[in-house]
Amino acid sequence: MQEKYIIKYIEGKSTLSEKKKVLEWIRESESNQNKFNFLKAKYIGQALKEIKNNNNESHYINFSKKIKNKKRYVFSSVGVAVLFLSVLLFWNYQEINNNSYVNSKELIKDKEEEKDLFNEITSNSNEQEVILPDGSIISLNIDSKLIYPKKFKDTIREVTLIGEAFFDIKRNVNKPFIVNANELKIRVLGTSFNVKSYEKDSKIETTLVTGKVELIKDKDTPIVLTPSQKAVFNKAEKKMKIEEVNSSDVIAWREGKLIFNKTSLKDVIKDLERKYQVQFVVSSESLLEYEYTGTFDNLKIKEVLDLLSISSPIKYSIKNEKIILKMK
Amino acid sequence: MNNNLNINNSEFIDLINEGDANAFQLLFKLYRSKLLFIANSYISCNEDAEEIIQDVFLKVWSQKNIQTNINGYIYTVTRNACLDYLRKKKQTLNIENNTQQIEASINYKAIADDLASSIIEKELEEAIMNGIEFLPEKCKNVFVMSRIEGLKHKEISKELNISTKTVENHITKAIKHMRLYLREFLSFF
Repeated sequence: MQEKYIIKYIEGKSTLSEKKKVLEWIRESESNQNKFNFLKAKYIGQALKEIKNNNNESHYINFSKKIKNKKRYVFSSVGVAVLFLSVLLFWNYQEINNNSYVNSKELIKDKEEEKDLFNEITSNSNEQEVILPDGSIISLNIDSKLIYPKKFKDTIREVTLIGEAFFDIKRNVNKPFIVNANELKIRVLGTSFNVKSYEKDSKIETTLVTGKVELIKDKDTPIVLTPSQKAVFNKAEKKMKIEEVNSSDVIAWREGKLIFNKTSLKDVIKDLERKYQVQFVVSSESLLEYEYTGTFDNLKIKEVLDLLSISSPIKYSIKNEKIILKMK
Repeated sequence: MNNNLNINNSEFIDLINEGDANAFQLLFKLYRSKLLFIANSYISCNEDAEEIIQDVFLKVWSQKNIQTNINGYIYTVTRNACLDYLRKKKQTLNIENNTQQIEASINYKAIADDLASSIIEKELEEAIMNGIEFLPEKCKNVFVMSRIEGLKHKEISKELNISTKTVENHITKAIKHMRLYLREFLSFF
């Protein structure tokens, strides 16, 4: 293919039929793709020289407002003690908002009050690893949020989790580590375990891999887990159930795998929706209770659906970008 | 002191890592349009590209974790964000518009290509530097000390052995000059 057609495509000037031809050509071989990569990079590099800094002033003002909003959210989700402070900040913010121009001095002042307290890490479409100030390592699954102080207190290490994460906690007998997961507190000294506590899910699951953890709910006697045990807390019934599991299956998400072992279709769908950002529609209640067993090892969504329909009595169709599941 | 205005100046990096609002604002204004252009070259949807760049700056602001190379760091964050986005786009079902999915997949490979990517990273750094290099030598010194190293006018006058009045003049001149070449970039100062 002549270079000029490729460049025309890169510049966004091709006609529809030219574009189709270029796309076909790129997909023909790896060397074609590489050539395209190179031409595109060169084009971008050249074009960058002509890019002017237009309107960045007004964008910055919008952006600095965003920073404030984000921070206040962390505060409100942390606790009553901090609530008072955030109310003060809110007033402060309102005042700033009344001035059309955001004063950078106030931004600094605002920031200094807040920045030493908490970090908030959110993983959207990808898993993310966080190293805490004490050296503990936490892997966040898709669509999850971890809130932790920049500096732990002297007697306790406390974090808040919304979503799913795998914790590998540095041992420190004098400073217990506590995970706040919805209405549960998970208390450990030094160990590795997995917590799944998505807001949309009906239950909170804690699986111990090594060491020892205690689950604390209000004033109930703490429940102690031993390795390869999973505690499932049902949020609606407020009941805790202990199951024996293969702990490596539970944390297989860290390698991009989804492993289901007699898992209700309802829960399978939730995992798939999070991982692939798709929507399912299932009209039959009994189908939702169907227990599925199978492994999806780094598959594309299309492959997942094909495998699902081969290995179970379920068939799928796609309508308006939604996936509809039915009994065969 | 270093005569070249270098975006990877360690004092500037320190200021950003400490959360200095002025330094961060400078970084934002220098890079936003260019990063947006890069993201938009791989991501056809304008609003999504805007959002990605906003997230890039949020990340730089909240993590405060730049080591020695601002340009490399901010470019890598942008590149990874684009990769994440395109990976998701590739996986998302899209029966109606197959071409978009093919383009997402091609663009994913293009930006994942390390060699191609390093070309863009280098050109980006050059484009950023060139914008600032137009400054006359003396002005540049003063400007770097004031705005990038965060020194006070008095400290600069002491170090360069010139009066504070001259320092102020240089800064005004620098700003005028930069306005000419960088237009709105410096309206803040």
